[in-house]
Amino acid sequence: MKVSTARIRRLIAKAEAESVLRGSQGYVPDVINTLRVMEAALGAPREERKKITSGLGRLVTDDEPLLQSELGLEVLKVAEDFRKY
Amino acid sequence: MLAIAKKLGLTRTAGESTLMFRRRVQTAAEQEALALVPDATVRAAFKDPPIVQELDQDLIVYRQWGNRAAESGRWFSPQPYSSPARARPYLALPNGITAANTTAFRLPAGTKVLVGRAAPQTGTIGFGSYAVGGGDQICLPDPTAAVRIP
Repeated sequence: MKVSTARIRRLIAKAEAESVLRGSQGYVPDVINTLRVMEAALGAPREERKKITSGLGRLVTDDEPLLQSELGLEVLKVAEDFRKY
Repeated sequence: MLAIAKKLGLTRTAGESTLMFRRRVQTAAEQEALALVPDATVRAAFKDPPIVQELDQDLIVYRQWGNRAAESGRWFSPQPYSSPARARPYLALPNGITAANTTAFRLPAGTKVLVGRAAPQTGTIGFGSYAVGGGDQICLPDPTAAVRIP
């Protein structure tokens, strides 16, 4: 599914809410920063989009509570769509 | 790569270069193992497509952790590093991992792993300019398989 600005913004809002709950633990702040860059890079060449998301899988899978959460799975799904389309 | 391949019991096929190893056709079990971790996003952490392997013997691996990274997890290296200053660049660890601590784990025979070299993450959000990658790394689709060595 093509990634839209609205889809990324919804996810940023969800991640920000999660970040407040979790404090400084884990990688949610880095995920939020990546999502913001993704939003700005919608429509960028595929290679650039792949580069932007290249670290996201490593971050999310090193944060088990995030990976097991709805937010984590959604982030990875959006990242995959962002890379593809 | 040669050392880790030998350690994992991978075989080299005649005619291939010294860094190419035979990749078996994935079995249903291996496909299932891969499905436990998000595919493309995790593969992007490897410089080249990772080798999927079911261990035929126990394997001792090491996890560098600290700060945002917990002691247990999915990412390991097949050998310990002498210092965080060596582990962080070669394993392209995120900024949030100090690698101040190293814990050894045993992966029992039969465990499914993804093996390969760490992709460079320089210029990637959440990583520093030090994160050049190239070190051997192991991703464990099922983190509960790792047994901490006291």
